[in-house]
Amino acid sequence: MLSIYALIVAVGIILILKLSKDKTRKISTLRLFIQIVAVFAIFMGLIIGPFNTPAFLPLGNSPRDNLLGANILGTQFPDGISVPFLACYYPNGRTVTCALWQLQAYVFPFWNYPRGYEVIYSTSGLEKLAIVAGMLVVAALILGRFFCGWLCPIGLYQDVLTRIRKSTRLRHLSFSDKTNVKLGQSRFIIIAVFMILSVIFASYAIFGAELIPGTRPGGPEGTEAGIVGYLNEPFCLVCPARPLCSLIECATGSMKYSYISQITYGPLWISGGYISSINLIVLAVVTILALVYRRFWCRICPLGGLTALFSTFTPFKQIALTKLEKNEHKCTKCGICKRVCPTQATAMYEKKGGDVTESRCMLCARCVEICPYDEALKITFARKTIVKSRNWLPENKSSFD
Amino acid sequence: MRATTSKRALAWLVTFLILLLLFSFYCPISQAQTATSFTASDNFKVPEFNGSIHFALNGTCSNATYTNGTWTFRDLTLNGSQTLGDLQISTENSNITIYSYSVIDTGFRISVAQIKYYAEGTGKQDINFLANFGKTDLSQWSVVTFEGTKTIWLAVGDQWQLLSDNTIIVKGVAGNLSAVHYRFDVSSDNNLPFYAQHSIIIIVATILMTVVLVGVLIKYRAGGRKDSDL
Repeated sequence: MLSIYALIVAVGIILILKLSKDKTRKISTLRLFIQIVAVFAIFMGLIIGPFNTPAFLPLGNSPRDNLLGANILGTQFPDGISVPFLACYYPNGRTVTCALWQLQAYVFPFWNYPRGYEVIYSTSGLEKLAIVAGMLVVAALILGRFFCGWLCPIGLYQDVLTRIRKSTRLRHLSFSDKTNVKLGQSRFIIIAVFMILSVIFASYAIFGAELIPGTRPGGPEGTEAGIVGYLNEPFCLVCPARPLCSLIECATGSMKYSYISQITYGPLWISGGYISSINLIVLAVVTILALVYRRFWCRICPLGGLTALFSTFTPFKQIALTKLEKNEHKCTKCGICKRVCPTQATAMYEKKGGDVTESRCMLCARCVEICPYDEALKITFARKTIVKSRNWLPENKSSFD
Repeated sequence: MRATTSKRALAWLVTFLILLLLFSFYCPISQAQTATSFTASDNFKVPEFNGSIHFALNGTCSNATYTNGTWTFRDLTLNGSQTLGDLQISTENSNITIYSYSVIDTGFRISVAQIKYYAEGTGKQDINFLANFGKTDLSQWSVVTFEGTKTIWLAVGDQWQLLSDNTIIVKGVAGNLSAVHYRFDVSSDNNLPFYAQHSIIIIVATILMTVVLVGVLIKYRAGGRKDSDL
């Protein structure tokens, strides 16, 4: 199954690269394809199922079950491999897991050896935190925010919304540079706030204080006390990825809605394992705003902020392997790169030359494919050019729209 | 015109690939076509021991064989369910009706199996789930009967016993019965050597150091080249 899947993906990539004649859309088309297959891999086929269903019994256990039950060189790692995009822990199993969930889950009490799913960890919360942070730094150093631009399911969701808006011929709105900068800075504030809340709520769960009247920790599922079970990861209660992924899985039949609604508790659905009133509202707001402002969520995504922190800020910036680079001698300052950037990054326009990767850049390569000057912009990996701008202008046109 | 045609071809191709992906996930394979069906009125007799087995629901199995007074059902499904598992069952001096059956065995630490049936006559039933539970012990099994809303736990050694091959023998009880196996292994890695206990962080740290080293080397080799010279 995996080999068939890989073959389909490889064939698709080759065909897109070969058949796509429009130089200004080739990379975007490829990116859309990669996003779709990545979402399939994460959510549909290779992680959750259809393992153990009758049609696919010969495949045996899913990678998730193997990871959950097997030992990786002796130690179990049942919470999955940390990834720097919103592969939500709850609806999508635990082969790959959103690093943000893991950080919140492990940060307090970090000295404890908690019991996890089927296991008693021999590693402390501190060690698990170190593992997650290590994986995050490795991913950020190797690929930077490529994950945001090419693999994240919320990114795909927003790109689809953008295409829907484009089909209606409505123009997108843009934030002012000042607002956009502030939105970018808010990512780090968001992550700090939610990590602090995670510690506070985890303390509540441990020490038994009733922060929310009528609730108590350790209560049975399906009761008001169940509220407290999910407060340890407060960001997950507001993240749009969880309800989006859950509802899509309900729509495709991978999950029963009745199961989701059973573990949603409290007045006005204040908390839940999959959906809550808050995260549904956030999803609705993100959907509306993403229709209007391209990649709105990516401008404030705390996980994207963390990835950017470890790839575009000193000292990580010096050793990050994937960069967007500019040749200032070939740049004519036409400004089209700035106009097409979904997150309104400006460094590729404003900086003179060299490494122009900035924290808002998702390495989607839209600026590279639209830049009409040969090799003015390029994306490099370990200093090797992966993709570079090409002159796509027809010979008889001296300017472009 | 050519650009439009190739664009259209590309769109069709991508659509086809996506449909192929969807199809490959949701298309049932032909395995089920070779299954043997049975209905709730079918009787699986055990003539040697004066007993019979039948299912309360329609179902299928890939194979149903009778050997030495024991019926073995492979790849059992009931009422259109997913494949529930295999079942080996025999009954003596009683007629039993199986209402519910399932086996969940992830192969890793969790295994759950249960069978609910009605026994007509105080005979004996031998039940084996034919799953790879490994060595189990009595604490992982329970056999109960029901009287109205009351659940009565049957005495092990008296009314039921567990054989070394995980066969459950229930005897002398008529009525609604349920045999359940439940194992949830909680293990600790504390017996492992240090490097095995902390293998993941060791690997992550190694990869991180390697990536940092590669990044530093690349930066160093770029050397005095100014970034604007690119």
